[in-house]
Amino acid sequence: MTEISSDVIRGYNDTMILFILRKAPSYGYEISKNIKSMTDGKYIIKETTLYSAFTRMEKNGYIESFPGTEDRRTYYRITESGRKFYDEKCEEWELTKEVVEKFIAAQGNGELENVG
Amino acid sequence: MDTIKNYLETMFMQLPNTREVLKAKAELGQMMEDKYNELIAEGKAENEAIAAVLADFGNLDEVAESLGIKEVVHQAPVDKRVVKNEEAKEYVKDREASAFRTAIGVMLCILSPVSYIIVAENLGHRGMGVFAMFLTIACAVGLFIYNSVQGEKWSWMDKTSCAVEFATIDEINKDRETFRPTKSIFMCAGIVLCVLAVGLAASIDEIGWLRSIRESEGIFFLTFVAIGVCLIVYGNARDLAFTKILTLNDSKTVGGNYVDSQKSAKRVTKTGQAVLDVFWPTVTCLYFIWSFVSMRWYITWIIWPLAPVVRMLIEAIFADTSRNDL
Repeated sequence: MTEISSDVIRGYNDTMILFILRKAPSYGYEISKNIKSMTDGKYIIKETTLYSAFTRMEKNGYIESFPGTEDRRTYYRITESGRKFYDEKCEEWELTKEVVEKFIAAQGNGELENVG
Repeated sequence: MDTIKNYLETMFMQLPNTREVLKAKAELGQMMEDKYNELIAEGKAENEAIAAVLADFGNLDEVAESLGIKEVVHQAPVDKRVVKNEEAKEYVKDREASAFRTAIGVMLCILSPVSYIIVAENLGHRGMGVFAMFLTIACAVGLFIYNSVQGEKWSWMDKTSCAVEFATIDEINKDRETFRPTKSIFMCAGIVLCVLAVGLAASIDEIGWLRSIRESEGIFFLTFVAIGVCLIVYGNARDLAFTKILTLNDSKTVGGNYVDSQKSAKRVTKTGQAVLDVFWPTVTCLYFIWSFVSMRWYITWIIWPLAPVVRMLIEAIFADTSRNDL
């Protein structure tokens, strides 16, 4: 079974987290659960990956942390610049997809013979 | 859940004890706990749930970068000698026995003139009295020597840089807390006995049947003092066994702060350790030199309860503040 390479997806962990936070503030496990269910279990984000994304994005001002009122968890909410960053990442992905797509053979039957 | 907690603590053991690191640990722990609880609620078996949680933990390297501790994470703790759980328990058990021997040895030192008084003054054998006295001293010195030879088995703990895992620290700390009330009782009883000794020596003439024993003030006074000091020494020495294990981890790392009692811990420099190594033999020598020169046995015993105080001072003077294993 094909697995997602962590190198490829790394640049888009932030996008996934921001997507979830755009709807409502959330906390670590809930976000990782959402990512898992939205991808039908095809992508499971590691706890350390998630935490380092939190600290990085908080430093960049894309998200803010705040203590939960009823539990000890740390919650995160998206900031204005976080929303802007999300939109930029979406555009970036559209472009990336468009470019990479050109090199992906539809049925696996290469079209190399047509090149050059 | 214990397995998960131990795993997390072990991962963070060598990391510096900063706010960022502790926050990362707390939050990663919360995520793992949430995931574990949900898996259990879904009806997963405990070991399955644990395996799943550990598999999705990831790699500390990723967190390290954002915490500014990248160098630390990459520096494998190869030079650390990990003290195994059984070793820690054996150490505490060994030290318990050694604390008992030290206490008995100290008691015999204080009682040595008593054996002289009983044999020489009350039984009338002056020569045998001196022999009895030195026999008592010999027994005490024998116990001290036996202790120091036995103690060499654990000298590597002072010489090598050691690490103790969370589970072990947790267990030893619980044992220490269990011992705490006993220690308090021993200390109180010890001090009460010493105070009583003075009162009893002063009022012994009032008690009729005691007057028939020659030098009974001396005998009762020193016996009370001996038992009292014995209890104090035993209580202190046993507690030291626990604190030794609790202070093995560097206090600047997460591992050095698992439990509150680790924080007050202090380590000594190499010079300090050398001084402490010869501490009890020196005290014993001083006690006998002073006692034999002055022949004031009724007062020289004060060395024993004072010795631990002096020891604490030495520990404070030679406290290793520069220590940095990172």
